[in-house]
Amino acid sequence: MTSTNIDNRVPIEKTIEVIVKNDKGEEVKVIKRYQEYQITVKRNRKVDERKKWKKFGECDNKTGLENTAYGDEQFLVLTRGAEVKEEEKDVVKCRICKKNHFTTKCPYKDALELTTQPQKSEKEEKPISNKYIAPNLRGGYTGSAPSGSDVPSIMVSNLSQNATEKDLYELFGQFGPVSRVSIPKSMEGSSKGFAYVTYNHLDSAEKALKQLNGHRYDYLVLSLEFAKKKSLN
Amino acid sequence: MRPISLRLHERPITQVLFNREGDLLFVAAKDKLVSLWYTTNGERIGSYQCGGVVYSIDVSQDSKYLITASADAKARVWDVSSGRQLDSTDFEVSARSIEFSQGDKQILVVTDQVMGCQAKIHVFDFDKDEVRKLNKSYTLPSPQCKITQATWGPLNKTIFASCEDGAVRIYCTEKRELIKTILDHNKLVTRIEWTKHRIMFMTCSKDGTAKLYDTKTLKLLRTFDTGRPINAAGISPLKPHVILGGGQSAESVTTTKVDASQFKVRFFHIVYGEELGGLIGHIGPVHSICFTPDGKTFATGGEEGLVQVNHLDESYFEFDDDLVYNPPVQH
Repeated sequence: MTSTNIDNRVPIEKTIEVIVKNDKGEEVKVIKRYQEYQITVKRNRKVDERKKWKKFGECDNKTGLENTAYGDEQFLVLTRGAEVKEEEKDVVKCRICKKNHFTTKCPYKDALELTTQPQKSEKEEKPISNKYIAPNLRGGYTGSAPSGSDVPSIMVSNLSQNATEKDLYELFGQFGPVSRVSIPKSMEGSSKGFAYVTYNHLDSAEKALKQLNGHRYDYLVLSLEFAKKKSLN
Repeated sequence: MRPISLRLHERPITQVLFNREGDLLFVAAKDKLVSLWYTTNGERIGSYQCGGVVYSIDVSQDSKYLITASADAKARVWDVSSGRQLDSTDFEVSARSIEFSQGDKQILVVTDQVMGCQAKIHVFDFDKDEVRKLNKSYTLPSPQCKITQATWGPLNKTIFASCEDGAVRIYCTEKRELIKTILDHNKLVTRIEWTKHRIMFMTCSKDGTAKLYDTKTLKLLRTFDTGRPINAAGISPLKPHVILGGGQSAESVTTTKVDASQFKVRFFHIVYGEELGGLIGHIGPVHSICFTPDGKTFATGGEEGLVQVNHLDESYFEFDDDLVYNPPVQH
C-alpha cells in the first residue's frame, strides 16, 4: 500500500545566490529561497512488482489508456439529515439533477447528455413546418393563412347593412368566380355586419384580399381576412 | 474529486472488484470479457476472454488467481498476470456466483435455476499447487428457487445465499444443511455485502431497502430506504458509511416515474441511518459497487457499461470527525 507520512522534522531552509547577466549586459544577483523537507513513503513491494506487468490479452502492444477518461469535477457534499431538508426549501433547484444550482450551470450536463437528447430533437421539429404560406402572407403579413381547409374563403367584416348577396357577388366577382356568399343575419333580419365569400380558386381569394382590404364600400371601409376553420370544440 | 471513467465495455457491467491491496481493479461485464485495470490512473493491463456472459468474479488474496462464473456453464481459473486459463469445470446450467473462501482453499459456485435444473451451491476444493486446481467437494441442497448470490460466512463455517423469493438462507458447511432463513425482504435480494471482518452484513433488495444485520445474532440493526431497487452496496472500511446504488431497470422504466437522480450513488450513515449525500455519474442503473480495502477509493459499474473509479477527497474523511469518540488521555 502506498501512503505518505510527513516526518516531524522541521524543514530545512536553503538559499541559493546566482549572478546572471540580463539583456542590457548588467550583472544581476538572483536569490532563491526555499524549504526542503523529507517525506517517508511506505511502499508495498507486491504493488510495486505489479506495476511492471506486461500487457496481455486485448491490451497487447497498447498503452492501456485508450478507454480511460477523466470525468468532470464532482463535489461530494455530505450533510446531516436535518440540514438536507432545510436546504431544499430555500435554494434554487436544477431541473436536470435537482441540486441547488441553476440549470444552465449544471456540472452534470455532460453526464446526462444522452438523456436530454430526445427532448431537444422534439423542440427542433416544431419550427420546421412544411405548411403552405400564401405569398402575400410570407413577408410578415398580419393575416393568417387558411388553416386546414382547402376552400379559399374570405371573411369580410365592417360590412354595411345595406349590402346584399347580389352586391357582394358583383364586387368580389371581378377577381374570379365566386362559388358562395354568406351573410349571417340577426333575428330582426338585418345583417350582422360581416360576411363570408368563398372562391373557386385560391389565387382569386388572394387577389381579392390584396385589392379589397381597406376598400371603401357604401359608407364603411371593408376589412378582409382569410376565414378560419370552425372549431369543433 | 474527479472520477476516472473506464468506457471499454459495451454491455452492462456485472461486477467490479478490487484485489486485496486495492491497486488492481477487475471489471466483469455481459460482453463475455473481464478486464483488468490499475486503480491509480485507470490504465488497462489486460483482459480475460470467457465463453459467455460473466456473472461473477473473485480474486485470491495474493492476487495470483482469478475465478470467473459465466453463462456458458463454466467456472474458470485464470492466471491474473498473464491472462492464461489454468483450469475450468463444467456445469449443466449457467454459473451465477463464485467466491473464494477465506484462506483460498475452497470455492463456492452457484448454478442457475433454468431448463428444469434446480439452483444449487457447489463447493470445490482449490489447490493452487496441483495442475487440476478445482476438485468437487460437496453440494448443498437446493432452496427450490433462484439464488442470486452466495457468500462465505465468518471462518467459512456458514454459507449465506440470497434468493429470489426475498429470503436469505444460511447453510452450515459441516452438516451441509440449511440452518436458518431470514425473511425480512418481500422482493428479490440482489446482494449480500460484508463489513470489515464480517461482523455485520447488509442485504440489498429490489423492494428498495437495504438491511443491516449482526452476523452472530442475526438481529436486524438498521434499515436503509431509498424508494427504488437496490442492486449493490459498498460498506466503507474506514468510516461508518455505506454506499447504495441501484435504480429502475430498463424494461420497467415506462411503468414507473423515472428521473436522472434515481441513478445516484447514495451515501448513508450506518449508525444514524440517514442519507448524507449522493453522487451522479451514471445514466443507467448501478449494478456493482466496490471499495478498496483501504477505504480511500470506490468503483461503480452501471448498466450502460461505464465504470467510474472515485478517489475520495480529504473532505470526505473529515466530514464527521466530531462524531468520533476520543477517550480522554491519561496522564
